[in-house]
Amino acid sequence: MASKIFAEMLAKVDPETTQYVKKNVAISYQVRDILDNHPSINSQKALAEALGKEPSEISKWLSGLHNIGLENITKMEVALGQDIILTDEQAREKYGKASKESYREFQTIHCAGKADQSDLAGEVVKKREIFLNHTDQEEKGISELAY
Amino acid sequence: MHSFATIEEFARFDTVAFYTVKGEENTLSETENFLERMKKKAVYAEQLDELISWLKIIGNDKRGAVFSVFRSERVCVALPPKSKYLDKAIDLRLYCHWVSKNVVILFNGGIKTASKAQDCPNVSHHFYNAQSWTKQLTEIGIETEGPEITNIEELTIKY
Repeated sequence: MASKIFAEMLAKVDPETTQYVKKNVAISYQVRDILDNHPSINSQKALAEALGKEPSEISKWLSGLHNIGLENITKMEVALGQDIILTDEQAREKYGKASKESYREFQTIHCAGKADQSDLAGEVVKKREIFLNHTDQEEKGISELAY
Repeated sequence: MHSFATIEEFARFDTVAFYTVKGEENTLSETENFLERMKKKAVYAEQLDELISWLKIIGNDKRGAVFSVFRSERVCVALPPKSKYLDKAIDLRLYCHWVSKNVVILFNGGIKTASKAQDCPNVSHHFYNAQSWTKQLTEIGIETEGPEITNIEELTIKY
């Protein structure tokens, strides 16, 4: 770390504070990602309208330094029609079971040695993201991406 | 007669490198000066810790320093991330120049006690410096490659 003063202060930050900020930033980005891909609610303003809130209130929730609270997260999940946070068990249940078929397809596409390895690294990340956001339409997308 | 300042690396993380300004005659950089002054104010310890954590978390996040989360402050920006109607008022301000999602130059700041930075005796000086330095750096042109400023030696500004 170039600044010793900053490094020392960073080392002294309470782990709870770091975890709190980390969770808030993660939730904030997750909501932003959902908005980027949502068919109808695709802006903070639209989300605010769906929730009957002021856009400034949503901006506050998504600042990454605000205690959003489970109640508000739940409101956003209902408005957006999808989960924002999942426990490990819920995530396995949602993506593990439902995606066995597409996962096999994913493996077939990327383990068949058809692509140059250097190209594969970026593609794997991309496809893994598709896999993790599994829907029928995206599953079709995975099929279409077969060489 | 003006003295001069240069840009130096402040902290580097996986995605973002934070830089700062250092006056040629100063021992501390501007952001170190900010940290040293703020850590003496116990009442703002929590805000300062959150700000420091935020730099680390954003610095390591694959998305990098997303411009939209910074506060707009005329030609420059500021931290902490914008939260106009927070239940608890966040008074801490650290002015900065957003260069790219991989490069942010941190300046100085303080505790903002007036609604406008220009009217606040604590931060107005830092606010005006931040405007001036951002303009000068924009005029010179900062060249980057990922988190590297490749022309850092050319970035000498009036202090």
